[in-house]
Amino acid sequence: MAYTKYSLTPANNNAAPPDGAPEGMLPSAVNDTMRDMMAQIRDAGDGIRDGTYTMTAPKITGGTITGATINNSAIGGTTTAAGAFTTLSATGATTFSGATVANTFSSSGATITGGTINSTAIGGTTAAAGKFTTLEATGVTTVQAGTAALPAITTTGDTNTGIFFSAADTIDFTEGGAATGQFDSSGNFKFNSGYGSVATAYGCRAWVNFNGTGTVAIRGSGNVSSITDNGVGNYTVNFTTAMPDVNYAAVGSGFRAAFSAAEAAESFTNFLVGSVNALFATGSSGAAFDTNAYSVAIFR
Amino acid sequence: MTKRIIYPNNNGGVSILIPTEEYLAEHTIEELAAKDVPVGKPYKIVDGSDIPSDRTFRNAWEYQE
Repeated sequence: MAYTKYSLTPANNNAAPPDGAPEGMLPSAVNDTMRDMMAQIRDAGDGIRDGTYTMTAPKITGGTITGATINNSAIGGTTTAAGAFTTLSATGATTFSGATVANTFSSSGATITGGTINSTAIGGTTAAAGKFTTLEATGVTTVQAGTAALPAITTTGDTNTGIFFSAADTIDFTEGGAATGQFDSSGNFKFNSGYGSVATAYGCRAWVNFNGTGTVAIRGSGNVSSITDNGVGNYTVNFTTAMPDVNYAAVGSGFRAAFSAAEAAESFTNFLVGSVNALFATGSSGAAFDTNAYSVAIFR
Repeated sequence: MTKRIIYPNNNGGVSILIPTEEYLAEHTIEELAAKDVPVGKPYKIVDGSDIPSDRTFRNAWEYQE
């Protein structure tokens, strides 16, 4: 950096030629001094261009920087290059072109369109394949309606089995591309369980199995809070959750070894939303009797 | 043995209410009495062992206050 031998104070550049131009210098020394100055100007220019010189407080206003690097990170140019910034902030729009964002990318309002996340396409106008290890949403997750052949919710390798939505307020199930079940818009559950078609299933709303001999005891039950032993062959079945009305169907059976099956007769009376009275008698005489295997089921 | 609830029935006899395990898993015997004993009927909560196992004269059983 020989140019630094010159002083910023013109009067001080009075060293002997060619390093300076003192008062009364010989004319023969003028050209030597000028040549020296030309060489120093060239040297300084080359130093700035080649990066030989360190600029301690450069100020660049306007213009275009192309093909250069900042701390070994290429900026601009026509090809990507490796490099890292400790932090990088932009207050305006930032475009990543062909870039990989590693570790943490934080944004309060970024829009990502047409790119990929871990090789999974996002956005765009066409569906794309891809996998996430886990996928969680704290809000509502919406899927397409799907069909029996291509259900909206399915599993890898068996994409014709799953859940689809054939109509508003309706949830459908499909297996092997054929509809096998449905919750319709009225809340009815329909299934094909060997019927040959998907039809409404009417479930048993209550059931109980009890021993009516000796110490009366309940073996098992569903939606039954209690049975009331009113006398020989006379029981009330009380429902835990009441029936919607009294138009339900009650079926029952009673078995006792002393009687043949043909002699046993079961009947029901006092149909209430909360209970029904079950009577067991012999078919031949009509006499009430106790058995050790009463079964009652309620359908609605 | 589980509790039983007894109350007089309209035929002059006694009705015996046998609770299910499923109901007692979530409710008390008192709640069951409030739900399944006919309104206005007096009732008692007794041990199941207090109920005779010989039902020969079941229809002659009576409720005693």
